[in-house]
Amino acid sequence: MMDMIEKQEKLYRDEEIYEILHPLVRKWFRDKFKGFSKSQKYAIMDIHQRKNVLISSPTGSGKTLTAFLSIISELITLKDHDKLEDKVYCVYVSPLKALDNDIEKNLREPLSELEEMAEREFEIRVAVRTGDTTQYQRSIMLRKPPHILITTPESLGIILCAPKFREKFKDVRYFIVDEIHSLADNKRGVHLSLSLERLQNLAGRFTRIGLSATVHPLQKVAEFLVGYENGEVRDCKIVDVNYLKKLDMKVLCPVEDILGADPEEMNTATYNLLDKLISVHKTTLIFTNTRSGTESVVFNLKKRFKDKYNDENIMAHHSSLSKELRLETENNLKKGELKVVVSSTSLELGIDIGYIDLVILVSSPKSVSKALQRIGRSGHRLHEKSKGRIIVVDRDDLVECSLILKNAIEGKIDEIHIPENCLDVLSQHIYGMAIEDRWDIDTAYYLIKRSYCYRNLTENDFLSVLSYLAGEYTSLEDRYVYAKIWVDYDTNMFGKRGKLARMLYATNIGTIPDRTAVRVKCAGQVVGRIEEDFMEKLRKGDTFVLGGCIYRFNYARGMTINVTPSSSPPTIPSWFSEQLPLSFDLAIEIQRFRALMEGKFEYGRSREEIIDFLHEYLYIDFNAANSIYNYFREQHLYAQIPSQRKLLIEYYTGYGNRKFVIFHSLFGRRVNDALSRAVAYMIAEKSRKDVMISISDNGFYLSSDGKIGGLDAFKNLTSENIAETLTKAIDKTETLAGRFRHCAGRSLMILRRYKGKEKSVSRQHITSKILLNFVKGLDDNFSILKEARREVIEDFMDVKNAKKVLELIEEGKMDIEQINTRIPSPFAFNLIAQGYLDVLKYEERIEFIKRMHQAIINEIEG
Amino acid sequence: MKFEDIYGAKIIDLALNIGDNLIISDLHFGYEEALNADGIMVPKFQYEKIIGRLDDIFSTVDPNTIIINGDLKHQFGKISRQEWKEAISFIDFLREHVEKIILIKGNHDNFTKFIAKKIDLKVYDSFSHEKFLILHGHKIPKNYAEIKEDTLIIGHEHPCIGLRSGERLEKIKCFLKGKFADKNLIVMPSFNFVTEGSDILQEKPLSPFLKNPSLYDFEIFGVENFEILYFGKLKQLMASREQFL
Repeated sequence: MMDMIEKQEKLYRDEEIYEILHPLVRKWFRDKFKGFSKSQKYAIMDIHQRKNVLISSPTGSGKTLTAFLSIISELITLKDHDKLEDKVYCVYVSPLKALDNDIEKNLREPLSELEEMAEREFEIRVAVRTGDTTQYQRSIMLRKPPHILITTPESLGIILCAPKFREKFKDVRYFIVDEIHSLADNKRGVHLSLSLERLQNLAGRFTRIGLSATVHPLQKVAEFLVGYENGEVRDCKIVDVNYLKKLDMKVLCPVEDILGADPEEMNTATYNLLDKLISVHKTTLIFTNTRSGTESVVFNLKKRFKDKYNDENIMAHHSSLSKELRLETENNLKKGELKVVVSSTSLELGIDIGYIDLVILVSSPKSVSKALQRIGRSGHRLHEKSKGRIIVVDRDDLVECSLILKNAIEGKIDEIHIPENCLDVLSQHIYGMAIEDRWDIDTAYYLIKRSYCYRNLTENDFLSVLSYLAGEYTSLEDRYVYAKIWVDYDTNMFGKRGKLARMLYATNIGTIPDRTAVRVKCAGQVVGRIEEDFMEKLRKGDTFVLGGCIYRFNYARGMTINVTPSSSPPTIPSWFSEQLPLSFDLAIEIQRFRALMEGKFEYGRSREEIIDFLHEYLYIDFNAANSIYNYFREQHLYAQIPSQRKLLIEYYTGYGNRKFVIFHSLFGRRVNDALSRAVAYMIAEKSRKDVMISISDNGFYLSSDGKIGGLDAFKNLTSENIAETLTKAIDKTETLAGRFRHCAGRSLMILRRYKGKEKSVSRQHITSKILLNFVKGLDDNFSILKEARREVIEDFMDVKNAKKVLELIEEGKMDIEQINTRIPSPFAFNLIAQGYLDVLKYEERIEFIKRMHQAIINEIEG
Repeated sequence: MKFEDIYGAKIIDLALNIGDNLIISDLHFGYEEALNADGIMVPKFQYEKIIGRLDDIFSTVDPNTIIINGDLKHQFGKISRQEWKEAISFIDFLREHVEKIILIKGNHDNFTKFIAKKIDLKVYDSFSHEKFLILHGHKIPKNYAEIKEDTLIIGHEHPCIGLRSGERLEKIKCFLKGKFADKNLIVMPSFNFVTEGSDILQEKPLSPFLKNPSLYDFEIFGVENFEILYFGKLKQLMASREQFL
């Protein structure tokens, strides 16, 4: 069997490529460029020959032109022969509206230059269609359809159901997916993958072109792009132009010894370092991992260097800011007016931001690919170096960033996770298909299985979605309210129900959940925002951390909460939903490094030898090497160094004789989330007590007020039973209920817009509580519940890699060692310091209530 | 010590028993349909739970009269299909168990009289039994000064309390026992299963009968599946809030 997906090894010569281009395009290109870039030499011929291509190359390497050049050439040829019809020839999809607008501009420019050169008009129409496109603009598009349509995955989903406009798509020849890596790893991409198959069903085969930043493995992303036919992946060529052009990347430690530095010293040193770096560059882009981090960097730079940074030359850019503010920042950047811009994640993607000569990452970006992508935003010209500096904030961060540096330099990139079999996204599409036409059930099933994300979809799951959409979860007589489609099992057909179907579909599709942010006010000032789910946890007097400060919760009024500053330790654990999890591959690399370090200490290598090794192995400077040496030495002397060969379990008794079992499982938070909850469930089941859980990227701990028996429970957990155990462990949790709400939204069980009304925020707020009650009574096979569970254990947590970890132990590749400590070992320090995160509730509700009642009565009478 | 009694009214799960009368409050039939109209397509699940719970209650008491203390239905401005259907079959169900049904008007009951008419019932503003006056409690009646009864029984508030230990929070429905001016006051929990209600320890009370400073002296009787758990006075609970609430 031949591999259907293969790497393109053939570099075409310039002459060969010029040969296939329209003479005008040829001349235009010759006048404008010195020659074809590497990715163009690889890919243009394939696109010309209508082959599917996935192109992975750095930003600024002319990817857009690679994709569009032969398409423009073909459209001009058609025009010459008077064969250019009023229909869509090429669809371009990107994750961002802003990127869509940039691309439109970047296409219009060459087109008008070509027209100028030819001294005639080609009348090749390019148009952007997104959620912002007005009714009027859409009606123009219908009359004069664009030959190249630029859109987003969501708008494409709507177009596929627009009865007249979809007719214009019957002959689509090219489909370009830009920034495919940022779509493939989430449900927007899953949604797109099905849209592609529905479009292909309408238009017949078209050429698929994927454009990607650094991503691994390309094979998987290519499969995602092209899909399957009769159970086999379609053909695709992979063009991989080495991303690691000239990378100038360093890890910087702001102080000499990160272990000894106190927080204030560390803070001051960090801002001084930031200022120093900014001062010697023209424009600096700083990435923090969170929105609150972004705010705090801007605030502190302005406060600490009043004469240097002000509203004129430093700005923030993140997703919580208004569209206008973000646009203003982008424009100021393009005009070169800003000295610094600080962003959480929003400037990662390829929107045009002008010239950046330095990217600084404050704290670990948690994966090599993210680091490369962010740093790749600098030196935005083909032959220039990308310059990036990672500033570390604590010792674990230092180790992590050093390994990111090593792996980035050596080109080892983490594996992308592509969600599969998402039943909520499937619901949307089946509904869309039903609106399109009536379908034979089997035909629909086989169409869906052509998407990479659904190639393994079971017939049972497919039928459960049909059943849900047909309202079969309600009584027969009520069904007319709930049913979105009809299913006739006798004739094996399904189709839409209700006159409002199309309208309902168009106003409610999409995969990004509505997250309503709650404003936090302190003395009349908005000090930040928290998520709604978090607000639900807060009770009077609770203290929590926001933007680096501690606040006491007073009361909530609608979607605003009132707080006062506090100095007592937080009673509600810090909120993690915003933070990026450490990638599993990087985690394994860190563990491997830990094993090497343990070996050095075991064999009694001298300080000099080890520091030399650190320099060479991690490409880090003296400060960094020195700090890592000290950190590992302390752990080695005090306890043991855990690694991928040795899982260290540490028993520690805390304040009030509370027992802690610390697992030094550095596998990333998603894996630890899965492992910890599964073990906690096993313990709780045995001890019939609630178990407290805390997790981080570096490990997890379980805690209870009695003996825990963590190791015994852990030994009962196997690669065979973890998925099932975990599913039980998350049952009835708020995490599941929260995800259920999102999945219910995507499955259109909760409609954002219905009968002309936008659902009010308060209504949504009530919903989550009611849903929780409702979920408890649900049948296990209800498709939305099944999807919510899948999303929690596969996407939010990482059960797949947790399984791998257990296999390592089962195969004897990882030993378990136990130690007792009186104070937590250095490697456990950050974990213990963060406090607990969640409690696995084992106790029955009534038992809990009775126990609480007794305690209260004792207190009152006491 | 048993706490089954409040001012002579006996607590039976979420209902109150005085003499030959059983009182329940705030059923809110039609809640799901109201959610549906807002685009939240949860199926109906309340009716069966309500019937099931009443069946359990009727297995322990055998009253002559049932008093529904307001908010039989949910929607303000109309009677939905579900409300018609469920309210009527609910009354049919009750008639198999009791001789007499008294409907008291709640703030959601603007249209309940049409349903009542169809099934030969009247809707009252309040109902008097010996020293008790039963009324919904969303407003203080105009003729308040003329009220002779010394104990008021109201609904409307849907009181519950939230108990917390660590991250775990469970809400439990409760009765409140207290005073309104010179009269005794009993507040009933809701007889519906959509939510536990509103947490009196966290949220401001709705009923004008509860907007008085003596609220801290109210006693709390939690109810969980027929068990009655006495939590003492609100002020005592508030004092230990750091630990439990």
